[in-house]
Amino acid sequence: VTPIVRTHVGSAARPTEPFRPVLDAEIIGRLERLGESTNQDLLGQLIALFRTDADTRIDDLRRALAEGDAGAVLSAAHSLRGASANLGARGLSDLCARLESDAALSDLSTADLMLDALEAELLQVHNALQQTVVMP
Amino acid sequence: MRILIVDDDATSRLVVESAVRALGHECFSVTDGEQAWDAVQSGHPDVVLSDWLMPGMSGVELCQRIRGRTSGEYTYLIMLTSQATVEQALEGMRAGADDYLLKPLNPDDLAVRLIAAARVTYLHSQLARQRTELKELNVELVAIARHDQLTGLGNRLALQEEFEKLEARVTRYGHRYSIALVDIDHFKSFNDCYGHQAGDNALRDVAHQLKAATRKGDSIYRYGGEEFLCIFPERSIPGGAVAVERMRSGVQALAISHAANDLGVVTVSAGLSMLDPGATRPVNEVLREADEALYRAKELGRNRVESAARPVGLDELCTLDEGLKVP
Repeated sequence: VTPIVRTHVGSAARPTEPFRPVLDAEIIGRLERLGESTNQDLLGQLIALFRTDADTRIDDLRRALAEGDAGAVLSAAHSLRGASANLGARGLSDLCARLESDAALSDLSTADLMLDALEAELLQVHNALQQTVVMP
Repeated sequence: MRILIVDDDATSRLVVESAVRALGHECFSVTDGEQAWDAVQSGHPDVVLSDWLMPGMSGVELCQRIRGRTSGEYTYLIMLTSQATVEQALEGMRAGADDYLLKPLNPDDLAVRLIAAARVTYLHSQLARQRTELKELNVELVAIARHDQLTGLGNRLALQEEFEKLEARVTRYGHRYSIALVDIDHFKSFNDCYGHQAGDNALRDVAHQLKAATRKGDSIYRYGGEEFLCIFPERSIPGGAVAVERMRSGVQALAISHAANDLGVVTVSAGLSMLDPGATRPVNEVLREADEALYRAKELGRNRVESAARPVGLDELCTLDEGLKVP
């Protein structure tokens, strides 16, 4: 496993806390092994998919928030949560889950703030994924 | 197995597809509930691996639709949910899902669940096959139970069911039927003389001859040992008598040797009666009349057709009654 991804320490950790790893090493390792067993660069494909997908979801979230459409927020947050969880981006996935559950209750009062935090975390995820691909 | 993956998120689909293929299964994917429903019906997957929250249709609804199918094929349903929303698993299982898996997917967990899925779908397919076999066997048994093996004609059970229908038709629609009892003359002597094998052959030949003499819509049953019952829909007694007379002469023309019989060949006697709306008599009564007519045909020398002629003159009736009382 690449050294930049350390073992995840407790799910209660806040995504903004510095010791919290951006990516879960175990899940990244799992995807690498799965890719090897099916003779494909699964991780590379996932990262490429995620790169475009995640940005689209952020755009969707922005638009949905501007329109006050809780249903659309819910749907976009859910998709992004699944995608980020697949890549072991727990901090990002947790943020999406919170946004999703608020949207499920039609509570968008703190959604703007959460979306800012979400974008900041996404940037970190993008960087960490980039390094994962670069690392041999 | 053939596995359908339902997820609107492309990364999730890619992960699940890879994990399923790594386990040696075939898979195809769709992105929402409506597509999933179409794919289940047209693609016949053994297993559906579906995300719980999908655009267009809820996981519950997909579960219910799949379980509501009556096609007989069993679709094993695994819901995908995250740890944060694990209560959805309970909801899913209640709606008809077979199992659930947590996202992000652990390929080892998937392997375990798919072993269970293979076992359960195999059992379901066996059950479905046995059910089909039982159904076919049942149809066969129903036919066998109503058939006389020797002559190929309907038997007493088939006749009993037919009579129930006839009575209803007579009462409800005013239909009428003439009914004939046909009996081989001196058949006991035939068996004594030629043996039971020859007796069976004669029964079969006579049955075929009787059957050949009926018209479309008429029916004929083996009523007893050497006795047959014919039903002629919408025919009065004279009309029925013509048909039975054709049967009688047909049997005689077969020229089956029967030394103990008057003509030296096998012949039949017949008694005719009628089930009609005017008389409103039960079938049993009509059968008794036919039996009396048959008795009379025997008394009058056999190889002939007698009718329970109605209306019957009082004198004639008394004479007949007298005749019947003779032990």
